[in-house]
Amino acid sequence: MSDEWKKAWQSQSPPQRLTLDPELLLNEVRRNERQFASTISWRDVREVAVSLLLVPVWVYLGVRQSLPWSWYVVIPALVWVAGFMLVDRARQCRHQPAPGDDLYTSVKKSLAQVEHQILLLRNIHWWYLLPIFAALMVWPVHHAWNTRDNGWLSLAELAGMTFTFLLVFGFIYWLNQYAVRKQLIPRQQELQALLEALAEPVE
Amino acid sequence: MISLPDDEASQQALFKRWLDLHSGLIYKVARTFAPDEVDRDDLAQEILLQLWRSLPRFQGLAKESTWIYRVALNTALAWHRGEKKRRSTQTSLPAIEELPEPDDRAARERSDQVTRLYTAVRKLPKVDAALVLLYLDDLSYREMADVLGISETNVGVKLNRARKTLASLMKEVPHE
Repeated sequence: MSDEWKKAWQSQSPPQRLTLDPELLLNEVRRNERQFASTISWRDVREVAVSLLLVPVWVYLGVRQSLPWSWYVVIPALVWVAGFMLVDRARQCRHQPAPGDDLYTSVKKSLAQVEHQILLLRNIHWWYLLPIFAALMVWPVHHAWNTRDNGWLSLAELAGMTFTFLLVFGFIYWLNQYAVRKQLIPRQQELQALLEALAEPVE
Repeated sequence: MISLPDDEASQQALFKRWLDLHSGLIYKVARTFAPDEVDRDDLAQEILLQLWRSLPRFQGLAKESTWIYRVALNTALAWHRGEKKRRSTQTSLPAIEELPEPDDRAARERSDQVTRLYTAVRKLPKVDAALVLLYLDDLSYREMADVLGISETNVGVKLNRARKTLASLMKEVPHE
Protein backbone atom coordinates (compact mmCIF):
# COMPACT_ATOMS: atom_id res chain seq x y z
CA MET A 1 0.00 0.00 0.00
CA SER A 2 2.69 2.51 0.97
CA ASP A 3 4.61 1.74 -2.25
CA GLU A 4 1.47 2.69 -4.13
CA TRP A 5 1.26 5.95 -2.17
CA LYS A 6 4.90 6.68 -2.89
CA LYS A 7 4.39 6.10 -6.62
CA ALA A 8 1.35 8.36 -6.71
CA TRP A 9 3.10 11.00 -4.62
CA GLN A 10 6.21 11.08 -6.75
CA SER A 11 4.22 11.18 -9.96
CA GLN A 12 2.81 14.61 -9.13
CA SER A 13 5.97 16.63 -9.75
CA PRO A 14 5.68 17.31 -13.49
CA PRO A 15 1.99 18.28 -13.67
CA GLN A 16 1.92 20.52 -10.60
CA ARG A 17 4.92 22.70 -9.99
CA LEU A 18 6.43 26.14 -9.73
CA THR A 19 6.49 27.41 -13.28
CA LEU A 20 7.90 30.91 -13.26
CA ASP A 21 10.65 32.28 -15.41
CA PRO A 22 13.66 31.85 -13.07
CA GLU A 23 15.08 35.25 -14.07
CA LEU A 24 11.84 37.00 -13.14
CA LEU A 25 11.54 35.03 -9.94
CA LEU A 26 15.11 35.77 -8.97
CA ASN A 27 14.60 39.52 -9.38
CA GLU A 28 11.41 39.42 -7.36
CA VAL A 29 12.90 37.31 -4.59
CA ARG A 30 15.93 39.59 -4.31
CA ARG A 31 13.73 42.69 -4.23
CA ASN A 32 11.58 41.12 -1.50
CA GLU A 33 14.68 40.18 0.44
CA ARG A 34 15.97 43.76 0.42
CA GLN A 35 12.57 45.03 1.62
CA PHE A 36 12.42 42.39 4.33
CA ALA A 37 15.92 43.17 5.60
CA SER A 38 15.27 46.91 5.67
CA THR A 39 11.98 46.40 7.54
CA ILE A 40 13.74 44.39 10.24
CA SER A 41 16.67 46.76 10.66
CA TRP A 42 14.35 49.81 10.67
CA ARG A 43 12.33 48.28 13.51
CA ASP A 44 15.50 47.76 15.55
CA VAL A 45 16.88 51.22 14.83
CA ARG A 46 13.55 52.93 15.59
CA GLU A 47 13.26 51.56 19.14
CA VAL A 48 16.79 52.55 20.10
CA ALA A 49 16.60 55.88 18.25
CA VAL A 50 13.56 57.00 20.26
CA SER A 51 15.55 56.69 23.49
CA LEU A 52 18.63 58.40 22.07
CA LEU A 53 16.69 61.20 20.36
CA LEU A 54 15.09 62.09 23.67
CA VAL A 55 18.53 63.00 25.05
CA PRO A 56 19.04 66.23 22.99
CA VAL A 57 15.36 67.10 23.47
CA TRP A 58 15.81 66.76 27.23
CA VAL A 59 19.00 68.85 27.21
CA TYR A 60 17.31 71.53 25.06
CA LEU A 61 14.32 71.78 27.43
CA GLY A 62 16.61 71.91 30.46
CA VAL A 63 18.85 74.65 29.05
CA ARG A 64 15.94 76.69 27.66
CA GLN A 65 14.12 76.76 31.00
CA SER A 66 17.29 76.91 33.13
CA LEU A 67 16.31 73.79 35.03
CA PRO A 68 18.49 72.42 37.87
CA TRP A 69 20.77 69.33 37.81
CA SER A 70 17.90 67.06 38.85
CA TRP A 71 16.32 67.53 35.41
CA TYR A 72 19.33 65.90 33.70
CA VAL A 73 19.27 62.69 35.76
CA VAL A 74 16.96 61.23 33.10
CA ILE A 75 19.75 61.32 30.48
CA PRO A 76 21.86 58.47 31.92
CA ALA A 77 18.67 56.44 32.29
CA LEU A 78 17.81 56.96 28.59
CA VAL A 79 21.36 56.05 27.56
CA TRP A 80 21.19 52.95 29.77
CA VAL A 81 17.94 51.78 28.13
CA ALA A 82 19.25 52.40 24.58
CA GLY A 83 22.54 50.68 25.41
CA PHE A 84 20.77 47.73 26.99
CA MET A 85 18.58 47.28 23.90
CA LEU A 86 21.55 47.55 21.53
CA VAL A 87 23.66 45.03 23.42
CA ASP A 88 20.73 42.65 23.78
CA ARG A 89 19.89 42.84 20.05
CA ALA A 90 23.52 42.28 19.09
CA ARG A 91 23.74 39.23 21.36
CA GLN A 92 20.44 37.79 20.14
CA CYS A 93 21.34 38.27 16.46
CA ARG A 94 24.09 35.69 16.87
CA HIS A 95 21.60 33.06 18.04
CA GLN A 96 19.02 33.53 15.30
CA PRO A 97 17.95 30.42 13.40
CA ALA A 98 19.55 30.38 9.96
CA PRO A 99 18.00 29.05 6.76
CA GLY A 100 19.54 25.66 6.20
CA ASP A 101 19.61 24.68 9.89
CA ASP A 102 18.08 21.28 10.50
CA LEU A 103 14.58 21.32 11.96
CA TYR A 104 15.61 20.44 15.51
CA THR A 105 18.29 23.16 15.66
CA SER A 106 15.96 25.71 14.12
CA VAL A 107 13.13 24.99 16.57
CA LYS A 108 15.56 25.02 19.49
CA LYS A 109 17.00 28.39 18.49
CA SER A 110 13.53 29.85 17.91
CA LEU A 111 12.41 28.62 21.32
CA ALA A 112 15.46 30.15 22.98
CA GLN A 113 14.67 33.46 21.28
CA VAL A 114 11.03 33.43 22.35
CA GLU A 115 12.01 32.52 25.92
CA HIS A 116 14.52 35.33 25.99
CA GLN A 117 11.87 37.75 24.76
CA ILE A 118 9.48 36.55 27.48
CA LEU A 119 12.18 37.02 30.12
CA LEU A 120 12.91 40.50 28.81
CA LEU A 121 9.30 41.64 28.83
CA ARG A 122 8.47 40.03 32.17
CA ASN A 123 11.38 41.94 33.68
CA ILE A 124 10.75 45.17 31.82
CA HIS A 125 10.24 46.93 35.15
CA TRP A 126 13.87 46.26 36.10
CA TRP A 127 15.71 47.35 32.97
CA TYR A 128 13.30 49.90 31.48
CA LEU A 129 10.43 51.13 33.64
CA LEU A 130 12.14 51.49 37.03
CA PRO A 131 15.33 53.28 35.83
CA ILE A 132 13.31 55.77 33.74
CA PHE A 133 10.63 56.22 36.44
CA ALA A 134 13.18 56.73 39.21
CA ALA A 135 15.16 59.19 37.08
CA LEU A 136 12.00 61.04 36.06
CA MET A 137 10.94 61.39 39.69
CA VAL A 138 14.18 63.08 40.82
CA TRP A 139 13.25 66.45 39.32
CA PRO A 140 9.67 66.65 40.73
CA VAL A 141 10.96 65.65 44.19
CA HIS A 142 13.78 68.19 43.99
CA HIS A 143 11.33 70.83 42.77
CA ALA A 144 8.87 70.02 45.57
CA TRP A 145 11.69 70.31 48.12
CA ASN A 146 12.77 73.67 46.74
CA THR A 147 9.21 75.00 46.80
CA ARG A 148 8.31 73.45 50.16
CA ASP A 149 7.39 76.88 51.45
CA ASN A 150 4.25 76.64 49.31
CA GLY A 151 3.10 73.88 51.64
CA TRP A 152 0.28 71.67 50.37
CA LEU A 153 0.46 73.09 46.84
CA SER A 154 3.95 71.73 46.13
CA LEU A 155 2.98 68.41 47.72
CA ALA A 156 -0.14 68.23 45.52
CA GLU A 157 2.01 68.96 42.45
CA LEU A 158 4.36 66.14 43.37
CA ALA A 159 1.48 63.76 44.02
CA GLY A 160 -0.12 64.67 40.66
CA MET A 161 3.09 64.02 38.73
CA THR A 162 3.77 60.78 40.59
CA PHE A 163 0.25 59.57 39.87
CA THR A 164 0.53 60.47 36.15
CA PHE A 165 3.89 58.72 35.77
CA LEU A 166 2.60 55.66 37.64
CA LEU A 167 -0.41 55.54 35.34
CA VAL A 168 1.70 55.78 32.16
CA PHE A 169 4.31 53.28 33.33
CA GLY A 170 1.63 50.95 34.64
CA PHE A 171 -0.01 51.00 31.23
CA ILE A 172 3.31 50.24 29.48
CA TYR A 173 3.85 47.34 31.90
CA TRP A 174 0.35 45.99 31.30
CA LEU A 175 0.79 46.29 27.51
CA ASN A 176 4.00 44.26 27.62
CA GLN A 177 2.54 41.57 29.88
CA TYR A 178 -0.45 41.38 27.53
CA ALA A 179 1.94 40.77 24.59
CA VAL A 180 3.64 38.01 26.61
CA ARG A 181 0.31 36.32 27.38
CA LYS A 182 -1.31 36.70 23.96
CA GLN A 183 1.63 36.27 21.59
CA LEU A 184 4.75 34.90 23.19
CA ILE A 185 3.38 32.22 25.53
CA PRO A 186 1.27 30.53 22.79
CA ARG A 187 4.29 30.60 20.49
CA GLN A 188 6.52 29.19 23.21
CA GLN A 189 4.04 26.36 23.81
CA GLU A 190 3.88 25.59 20.10
CA LEU A 191 7.66 25.47 19.80
CA GLN A 192 7.93 23.31 22.93
CA ALA A 193 5.42 20.89 21.42
CA LEU A 194 7.47 20.73 18.21
CA LEU A 195 10.66 20.13 20.14
CA GLU A 196 9.02 17.38 22.18
CA ALA A 197 7.75 15.78 18.97
CA LEU A 198 11.33 15.70 17.69
CA ALA A 199 12.82 14.40 20.93
CA GLU A 200 14.42 10.96 21.17
CA PRO A 201 11.95 8.30 22.38
CA VAL A 202 12.35 7.36 26.04
CA GLU A 203 13.14 3.69 26.55
CA MET B 1 30.26 17.98 -8.90
CA ILE B 2 28.60 20.84 -7.00
CA SER B 3 29.94 24.33 -7.59
CA LEU B 4 29.82 26.23 -4.31
CA PRO B 5 28.11 29.65 -4.38
CA ASP B 6 31.13 31.84 -3.66
CA ASP B 7 30.04 34.80 -5.80
CA GLU B 8 26.88 36.49 -7.02
CA ALA B 9 26.84 34.83 -10.45
CA SER B 10 27.31 31.31 -9.14
CA GLN B 11 24.67 31.91 -6.48
CA GLN B 12 22.21 32.93 -9.18
CA ALA B 13 23.12 29.92 -11.29
CA LEU B 14 22.69 27.57 -8.33
CA PHE B 15 19.36 29.13 -7.40
CA LYS B 16 18.06 28.69 -10.95
CA ARG B 17 19.28 25.12 -10.94
CA TRP B 18 17.45 24.42 -7.69
CA LEU B 19 14.28 25.87 -9.15
CA ASP B 20 14.59 23.74 -12.25
CA LEU B 21 15.33 20.53 -10.38
CA HIS B 22 13.47 20.86 -7.09
CA SER B 23 10.42 23.07 -7.64
CA GLY B 24 8.21 20.00 -7.18
CA LEU B 25 9.59 19.58 -3.68
CA ILE B 26 8.75 23.18 -2.77
CA TYR B 27 5.28 22.75 -4.22
CA LYS B 28 4.67 19.62 -2.13
CA VAL B 29 5.76 21.29 1.11
CA ALA B 30 3.65 24.37 0.34
CA ARG B 31 0.60 22.28 -0.52
CA THR B 32 0.99 20.15 2.61
CA PHE B 33 1.29 23.01 5.07
CA ALA B 34 -1.03 25.49 3.32
CA PRO B 35 -4.21 23.88 2.03
CA ASP B 36 -5.67 27.16 0.81
CA GLU B 37 -4.42 28.33 -2.64
CA VAL B 38 -3.63 31.91 -1.60
CA ASP B 39 -1.72 30.69 1.45
CA ARG B 40 0.07 28.17 -0.75
CA ASP B 41 1.40 30.93 -3.00
CA ASP B 42 2.42 32.95 0.03
CA LEU B 43 4.22 30.02 1.62
CA ALA B 44 5.95 29.09 -1.66
CA GLN B 45 7.21 32.68 -1.93
CA GLU B 46 8.45 32.60 1.62
CA ILE B 47 10.28 29.32 0.97
CA LEU B 48 11.89 30.78 -2.16
CA LEU B 49 12.99 33.84 -0.22
CA GLN B 50 14.51 31.73 2.55
CA LEU B 51 16.15 29.51 -0.05
CA TRP B 52 17.79 32.55 -1.62
CA ARG B 53 18.95 33.73 1.80
CA SER B 54 20.35 30.28 2.55
CA LEU B 55 22.58 30.25 -0.56
CA PRO B 56 25.70 31.78 1.03
CA ARG B 57 25.54 29.15 3.79
CA PHE B 58 25.26 26.21 1.42
CA GLN B 59 28.60 24.41 1.58
CA GLY B 60 27.78 21.47 -0.63
CA LEU B 61 28.23 19.11 2.33
CA ALA B 62 24.55 18.17 2.39
CA LYS B 63 22.73 16.94 -0.69
CA GLU B 64 20.91 19.74 -2.49
CA SER B 65 17.52 18.13 -1.93
CA THR B 66 18.29 17.66 1.78
CA TRP B 67 19.25 21.32 2.09
CA ILE B 68 16.12 22.48 0.24
CA TYR B 69 13.93 20.25 2.38
CA ARG B 70 15.49 21.77 5.52
CA VAL B 71 14.83 25.31 4.35
CA ALA B 72 11.34 24.47 3.08
CA LEU B 73 10.22 22.61 6.21
CA ASN B 74 11.71 25.18 8.59
CA THR B 75 9.91 27.90 6.69
CA ALA B 76 6.66 25.96 6.52
CA LEU B 77 6.65 25.26 10.24
CA ALA B 78 7.56 28.85 11.11
CA TRP B 79 4.99 30.16 8.63
CA HIS B 80 2.44 27.86 10.14
CA ARG B 81 3.10 29.42 13.52
CA GLY B 82 1.34 32.53 12.22
CA GLU B 83 4.21 34.58 10.86
CA LYS B 84 2.39 35.72 7.74
CA LYS B 85 3.90 39.16 8.08
CA ARG B 86 5.25 39.47 4.55
CA ARG B 87 1.94 39.10 2.73
CA SER B 88 0.51 42.37 3.95
CA THR B 89 3.52 44.45 2.96
CA GLN B 90 4.82 42.90 -0.22
CA THR B 91 3.60 42.26 -3.71
CA SER B 92 2.32 38.83 -4.57
CA LEU B 93 4.38 36.71 -6.87
CA PRO B 94 2.38 34.11 -8.76
CA ALA B 95 4.66 31.25 -7.86
CA ILE B 96 2.53 28.18 -8.36
CA GLU B 97 0.82 27.20 -11.55
CA GLU B 98 -1.41 24.16 -11.63
CA LEU B 99 -1.02 22.44 -14.97
CA PRO B 100 -3.85 20.26 -16.32
CA GLU B 101 -3.54 16.55 -15.58
CA PRO B 102 -3.70 14.11 -18.52
CA ASP B 103 -7.31 13.06 -18.82
CA ASP B 104 -7.09 9.30 -18.58
CA ARG B 105 -8.40 6.90 -15.96
CA ALA B 106 -5.01 6.05 -14.49
CA ALA B 107 -4.07 9.72 -14.12
CA ARG B 108 -7.42 10.52 -12.50
CA GLU B 109 -7.00 7.69 -10.02
CA ARG B 110 -3.48 8.84 -9.24
CA SER B 111 -4.63 12.41 -8.78
CA ASP B 112 -7.42 11.23 -6.47
CA GLN B 113 -4.91 9.27 -4.40
CA VAL B 114 -2.57 12.25 -4.19
CA THR B 115 -5.42 14.52 -3.06
CA ARG B 116 -6.41 11.99 -0.40
CA LEU B 117 -2.79 11.72 0.71
CA TYR B 118 -2.55 15.49 1.15
CA THR B 119 -5.80 15.50 3.15
CA ALA B 120 -4.53 12.72 5.41
CA VAL B 121 -1.03 14.17 5.83
CA ARG B 122 -2.49 17.55 6.86
CA LYS B 123 -4.30 15.81 9.71
CA LEU B 124 -1.04 14.49 11.16
CA PRO B 125 0.91 16.41 13.82
CA LYS B 126 3.38 18.80 12.15
CA VAL B 127 6.54 16.79 12.75
CA ASP B 128 4.85 13.58 11.60
CA ALA B 129 3.60 15.39 8.49
CA ALA B 130 7.14 16.54 7.72
CA LEU B 131 8.45 13.03 8.22
CA VAL B 132 5.79 11.44 6.00
CA LEU B 133 6.52 14.02 3.32
CA LEU B 134 10.17 12.93 3.28
CA TYR B 135 9.16 9.28 3.35
CA LEU B 136 6.79 9.64 0.40
CA ASP B 137 9.57 11.32 -1.56
CA ASP B 138 11.70 8.26 -0.88
CA LEU B 139 14.44 9.84 1.22
CA SER B 140 16.64 7.42 3.14
CA TYR B 141 16.61 7.32 6.96
CA ARG B 142 20.00 9.05 6.91
CA GLU B 143 18.63 11.89 4.76
CA MET B 144 15.50 12.24 6.91
CA ALA B 145 17.70 12.40 10.00
CA ASP B 146 19.80 15.14 8.34
CA VAL B 147 16.74 17.21 7.49
CA LEU B 148 15.17 16.90 10.92
CA GLY B 149 18.35 16.94 13.01
CA ILE B 150 17.49 13.74 14.89
CA SER B 151 18.98 10.24 14.98
CA GLU B 152 18.16 7.54 12.43
CA THR B 153 16.73 5.39 15.22
CA ASN B 154 14.44 8.20 16.20
CA VAL B 155 13.41 8.59 12.55
CA GLY B 156 12.55 4.88 12.44
CA VAL B 157 10.43 5.00 15.58
CA LYS B 158 8.56 8.14 14.60
CA LEU B 159 8.08 7.12 10.98
CA ASN B 160 6.66 3.79 11.96
CA ARG B 161 4.11 5.48 14.19
CA ALA B 162 3.34 8.18 11.60
CA ARG B 163 2.78 5.60 8.84
CA LYS B 164 0.32 3.69 11.00
CA THR B 165 -1.59 6.89 11.72
CA LEU B 166 -1.49 7.82 8.02
CA ALA B 167 -2.89 4.43 7.05
CA SER B 168 -5.83 4.81 9.39
CA LEU B 169 -6.40 8.39 8.26
CA MET B 170 -6.39 7.29 4.61
CA LYS B 171 -9.25 4.91 5.39
CA GLU B 172 -11.27 7.84 6.70
CA VAL B 173 -10.62 10.13 3.72
CA PRO B 174 -13.31 9.58 1.08
CA HIS B 175 -12.54 9.14 -2.64
CA GLU B 176 -13.49 12.06 -4.86
